[in-house]
Amino acid sequence: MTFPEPGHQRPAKPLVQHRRTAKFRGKSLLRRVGRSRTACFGLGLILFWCLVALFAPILAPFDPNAQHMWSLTDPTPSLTHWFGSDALHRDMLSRIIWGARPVLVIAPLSLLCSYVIGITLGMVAAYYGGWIDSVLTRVIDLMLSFPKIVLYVVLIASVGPSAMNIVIAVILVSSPGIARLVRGLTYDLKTSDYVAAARIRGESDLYILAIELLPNERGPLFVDFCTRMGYTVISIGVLGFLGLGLPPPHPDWGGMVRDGTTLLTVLPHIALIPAFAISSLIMGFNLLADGLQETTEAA
Amino acid sequence: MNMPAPNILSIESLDVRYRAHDGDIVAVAGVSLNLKRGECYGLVGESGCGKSTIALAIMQYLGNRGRLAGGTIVFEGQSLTNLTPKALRAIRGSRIAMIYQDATGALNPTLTVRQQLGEVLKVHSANDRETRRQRVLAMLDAVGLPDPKATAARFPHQLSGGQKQRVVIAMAFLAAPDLLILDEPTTALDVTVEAEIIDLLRQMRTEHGTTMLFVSHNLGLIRRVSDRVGVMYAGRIVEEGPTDQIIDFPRHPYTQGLLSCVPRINAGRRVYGLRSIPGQVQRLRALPKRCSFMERCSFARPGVCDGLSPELTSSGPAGTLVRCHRWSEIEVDHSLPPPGDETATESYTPVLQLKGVSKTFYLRPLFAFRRQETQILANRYVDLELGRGEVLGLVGESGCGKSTLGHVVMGLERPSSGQIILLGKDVSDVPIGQRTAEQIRNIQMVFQNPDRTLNPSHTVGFILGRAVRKLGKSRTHAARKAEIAELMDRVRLPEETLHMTAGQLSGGQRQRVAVARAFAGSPALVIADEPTSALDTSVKTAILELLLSARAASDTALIFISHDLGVVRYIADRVAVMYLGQIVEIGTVDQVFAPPYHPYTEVLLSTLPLVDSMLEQRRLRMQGELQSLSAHGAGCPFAGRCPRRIGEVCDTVPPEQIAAGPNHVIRCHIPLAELRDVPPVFRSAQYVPDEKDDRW
Repeated sequence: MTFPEPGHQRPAKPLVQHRRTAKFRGKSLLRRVGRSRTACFGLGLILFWCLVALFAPILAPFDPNAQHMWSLTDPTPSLTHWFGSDALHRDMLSRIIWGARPVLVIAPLSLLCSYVIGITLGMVAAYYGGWIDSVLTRVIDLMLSFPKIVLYVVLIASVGPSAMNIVIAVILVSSPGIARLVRGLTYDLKTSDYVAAARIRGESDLYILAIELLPNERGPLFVDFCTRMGYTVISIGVLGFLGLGLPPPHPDWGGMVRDGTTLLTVLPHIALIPAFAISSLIMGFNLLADGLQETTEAA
Repeated sequence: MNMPAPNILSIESLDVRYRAHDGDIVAVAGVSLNLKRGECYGLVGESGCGKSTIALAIMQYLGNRGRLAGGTIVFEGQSLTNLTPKALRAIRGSRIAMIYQDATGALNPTLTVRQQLGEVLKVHSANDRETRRQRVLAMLDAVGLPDPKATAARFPHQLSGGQKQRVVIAMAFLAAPDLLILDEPTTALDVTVEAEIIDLLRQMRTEHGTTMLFVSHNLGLIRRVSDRVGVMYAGRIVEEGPTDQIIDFPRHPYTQGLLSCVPRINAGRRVYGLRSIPGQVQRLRALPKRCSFMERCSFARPGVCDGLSPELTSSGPAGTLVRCHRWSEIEVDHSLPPPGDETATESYTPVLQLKGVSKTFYLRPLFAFRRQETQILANRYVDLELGRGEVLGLVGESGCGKSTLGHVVMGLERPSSGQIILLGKDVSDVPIGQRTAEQIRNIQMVFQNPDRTLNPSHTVGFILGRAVRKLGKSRTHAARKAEIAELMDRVRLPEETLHMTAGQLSGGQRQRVAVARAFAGSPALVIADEPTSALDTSVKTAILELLLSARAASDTALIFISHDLGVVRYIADRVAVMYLGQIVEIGTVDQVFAPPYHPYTEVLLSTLPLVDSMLEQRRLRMQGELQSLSAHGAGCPFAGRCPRRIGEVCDTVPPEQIAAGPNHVIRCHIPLAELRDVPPVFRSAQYVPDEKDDRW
């Protein structure tokens, strides 16, 4: 046993370790998912649908748009058509598998764009304050005061349904909410001493916003992202249901539910299977968000 | 007393553990202590030593993660450890009450003061409404709240911090408890308010004869209130005995270490140095097998101290106990440690000059029909000059505009009027974004809150790298790396810290990084805004030493903003005392700490909790609460609370500056001759042996 001189920072053999070791913080987000069973389950569901979408050509037993006349007599699930076939005799399983693609492309893509816009607006409003903040906040409030679904319907109905238009609609509908969240977070953080330290070091505003502030907002933003993904999947489903989704014959979960509603009493599987697909994906995102929230609060 | 008073509370080998996600942590390891009826027992130690855990264990409030792993707590012959919830409720509040640090959290924000206090009586004694009302008002009066009737009708958010703590004290005493546990009851308060609360507690104790357990990290406070003291380290009591004995003749190296961290009031850093205890309190995973202080102890000897854990043994006739293998061999060192290296600056070159700097904030309601503005006068006509290498202490209560002045000088805020001259250039109208690289490099800041000073997303290496890139001299990557290494060395941080983020560092380590960041470009001026007020005793001293050595290395001038006069006495060459945005007195430390005083300085000095028994302190308190910066009239800002108010003139005419000596300025209406006649606040105790003077 050696005896450290006074002035030595640490004992040669620490009696205890630091609560968090360096490794612990490194991949904090993944770690946090790992610590919560809820989050793990949610992530599993999401990954399942991602894999399904990715390998759709391999997994789907049939062409999703091919009509199979031999199922004419019995469209209910069978050995050839596991999930049965729809009113136009197309294989349901293949359509569900292919239908995962547009949702999982449109929802994240449009949300990422919304976040770029929302984060920019929110940070600028909070950081600069004054009239910029007042104007932006009013605009955001105005946009948030519309019922979301009405906003979607009006937007899509006026420009016509297409993948691109859905993306634009999602951006317009989601970014005000994100901007408000980011504004709140930034407002809290901008009075931090490390921001003042950056200012007196002569850092530019862009540096302060992007390097000093943004990284500290990633936790709540990621939770928000997951919840918002759920909502967006719902919205895309609803648009499809209202006939404002992807134009036919593209397999679209929301559209499939709508097609099935007329036959709901006779052939319930046509509506219920895509509905279940939608809700399982949403559940995945919600569980992930819940789990992350839990670990944030516990930490 | 001849007969030993019976114990009201006895704790026998108490063992408390907290569950963490990676195993148990031992918070209290075999503590035994007895509280005699009517005494005040002080528990002192750094944070993480288990002081508060003992308090919570007595109340059986350990929470979900805490658990009593062994030992007994007996209160008035009744064991508290195995009571039913109902029996426990009967004891909590009515027989044992607790006062916490955070008064805001202890009061229900939706109830008025009367309702909350009435509730206590309703639960613990069955009085009728009118009697309850009377007793509440009487108690509010007893705790010194002005206008009890009006206060009783208020909600907690309408009261100041000191008033809230008074209400909490009233609440505790209403139930007439036998034992009162106080967990750092004044830590969140201003020095002047702290002194008043302590006075109140002492008075309530004599009136009610309540036994008290006083938990604090402040040895000066402990000396002021408690009869006996227990010094805790790493979950154990390492020394125990009568307060005066322990503080004047500490036996345990830890107690000695704590005491050598406390600045003396009669000399500054040029006379002696403070000694910090190396290292930090460790979290115990299991009961220690050997002396747990050994790693930090400068007296530790291999072969002696790494044996079995030492037992508490009697160390003197006065009933002192000490837990150390070598206590009898250790000399009680009363001499002050030598001062640190001090390079005297030969020539005086001004770094910063402030000429009549004022800062006014306007609060404007958003939708006002008429332009109603509230003016907040954060700074009024501040004149200052600071030379190279000089240390200026800026003291005053919170909310007096000290930090605003710092921000104005930094360029984070623009002054409303006046001139700021930095290194010969007028920068008063140049906000930080427009200053030259040279100006930015030359003025830096160290902040108060170690939790918010470092960006939690960045590693120490990144933070210092950025500071060196923006402020340092190096232009190449390798040179920058060398510069970072040198900075780390200067603030005595091990190299592996470079890869850690703020969350993995202790408060003291974070503050070290903050100091390194500020001194990265060898600035001409550093403003330190209460850099040590959130830190533990020994860490505080280490940071002070660090600031001083960093300052000496680059001959930097330092503005040290603090509410702690003791620290300022130690670190500063000159002191400026601020009250409501105005500098009321400025001079060298020796001038400010001796008569003539500005009345406010006098009050501040007399509220300072002292550790030194050789000094006697005159008691002087002011009236009322700190006014807000918005509402004071044309006269002296201190007029409303001044204990030496002379009359109308104080309220109506702004006081002139009087030159009380070379570079010593006081802003007061009282003639200088009269101020000179004021007796000093501190006197050596031997000059007034037994004299009971009203003023003392």
